[in-house]
Amino acid sequence: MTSNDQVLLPAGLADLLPPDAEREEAASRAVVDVFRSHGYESVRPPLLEFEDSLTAGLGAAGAGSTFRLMDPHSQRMLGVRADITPQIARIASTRLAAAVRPLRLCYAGDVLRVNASANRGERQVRQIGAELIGCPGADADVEILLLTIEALGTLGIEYFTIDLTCPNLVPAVMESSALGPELQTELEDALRRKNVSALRSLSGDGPRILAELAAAAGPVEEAETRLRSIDLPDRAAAVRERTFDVLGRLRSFVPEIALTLDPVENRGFGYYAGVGFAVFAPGARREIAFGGRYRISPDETAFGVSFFTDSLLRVAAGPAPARRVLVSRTEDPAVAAALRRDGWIAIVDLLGSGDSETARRARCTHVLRDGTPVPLAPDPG
Amino acid sequence: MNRDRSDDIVLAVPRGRIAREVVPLLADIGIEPEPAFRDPDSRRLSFRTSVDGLSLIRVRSFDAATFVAFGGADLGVVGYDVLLEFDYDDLYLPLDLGIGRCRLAVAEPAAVASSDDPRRWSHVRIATKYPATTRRHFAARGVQAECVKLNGSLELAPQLGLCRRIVDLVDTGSTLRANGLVEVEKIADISSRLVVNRTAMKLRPRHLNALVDRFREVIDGASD
Repeated sequence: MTSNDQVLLPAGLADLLPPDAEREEAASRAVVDVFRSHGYESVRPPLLEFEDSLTAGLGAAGAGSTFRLMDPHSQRMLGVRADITPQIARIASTRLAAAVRPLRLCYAGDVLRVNASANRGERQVRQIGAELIGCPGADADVEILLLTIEALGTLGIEYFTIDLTCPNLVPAVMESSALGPELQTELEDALRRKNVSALRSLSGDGPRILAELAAAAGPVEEAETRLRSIDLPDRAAAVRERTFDVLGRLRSFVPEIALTLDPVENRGFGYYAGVGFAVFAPGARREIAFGGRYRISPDETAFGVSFFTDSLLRVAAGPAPARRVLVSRTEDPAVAAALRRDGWIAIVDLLGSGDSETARRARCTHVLRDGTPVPLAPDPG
Repeated sequence: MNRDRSDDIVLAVPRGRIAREVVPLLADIGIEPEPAFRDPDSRRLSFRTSVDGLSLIRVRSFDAATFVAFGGADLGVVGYDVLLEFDYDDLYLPLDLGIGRCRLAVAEPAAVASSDDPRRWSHVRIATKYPATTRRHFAARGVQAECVKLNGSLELAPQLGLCRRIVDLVDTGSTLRANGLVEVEKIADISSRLVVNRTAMKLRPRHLNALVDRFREVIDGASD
């Protein structure tokens, strides 16, 4: 197993080694701990599901990025999850349909995506999320947003921007202006690219409003004023009011957080149907977290957030350096056990030399002498 | 992309054809590159400008989109031909600069064109710098395109028997005529666009919006 072909991994897959694996694990644990402290309870859906249930409902948005394989047992097609949120929606609307609302669930697990885009190379990433189910009010939206901000703080991410979006604003405008399917596709493409030039070149009320919406995106102070001044059809105006409601509450709770508002953003918001948001941080090429409100059944919605470790780990502070002490193999195991209870990493010296050089090679910070951890002298080399 | 937010805003400008039109446009906006930018012998790739906190990088036109998509530059001037070919998801295209106008077209030798009926094609072999765009264009018509990727001198390919057809940028058509080729089908109108990295736009919206607005004012003024 030493030839180069045998260590080559498929595109987009990687071995995570020390200390990166530890960093991912620590970040995942820290975020889940924040969720749990707010009453979110862990669920663990399976890696594989039948393809048709995995890509039904919310999962339809991720159908194109799902790995598929044949189950020799049932002779049915299976899919590997590309997103955990639709699995939570399935659980909440079926097995936990009778559970008391609001239902708070959280999870951490790996997802697999077929298409590693040039700019998001990893195909296996860990998704860590929380979903607040069955509470339609703006208070629920704000709870998740504040939870997200708290988790970012726990990870030591000091500078970030939250981009608030309204994924169902554009559809509401399109619906009320009765556009043909071809024009609608052209408009959606232009909106995705913020192609204001193309939007302005089209005539009609729909394209004019959409061009104004696209140009309104920006820092929240300016964007709010611009968005407020646009004359919207009724249903779209209701979407705007809800966004302003969430925005107002969020600003009163955390006025120091940098906020932007983008009324036309729809990337990654395939199934979102209320207020949406994405978190950006310098150093990460793409959003480090995103979330929003989505429909889990005809009469119930949920609001959730997902963190993805591929971009998260580019900006999260690593865990505090551990205190590692080398313990002689002849030492009473109870001594090492006591140290571990105090938060030490206590490593038994299997080589038996017990000198500082061995300790250094084991990346220890201390050596145990007479029952007390003694700091290693700085490396003379 | 571990650039700090206090860093300069970086604008990617392509070399060659487009660069000659971009420099006057930048001047109208009030962006004067340092003198080395205009010096054809300079080996430097990164330049300061008269605007504090804005620097330029000079890259190949195909690379300008890549630099912006990956966050190496915050914004850039990129031909629409390049954007069609790469289709990077993380780019915003807020503004058509209206410079570098031409079209992407299919051409073939005049002798072939006289007896050819494009409606009967099922498989074509094409030399091009734009294999993805070419395949997509023909696939939409139900034609399978086998592409031979070349980086230049495409007009030679039919003469030397690599293939009968090419897909390339056509401006006046004089290069095609000089090589005995005629344009048979237009794929898209091309012009240069101002592109902005999506993450940069979210993290530094004030700076970048202000720059885009200044470009827009000058472009709108020029078209009046």
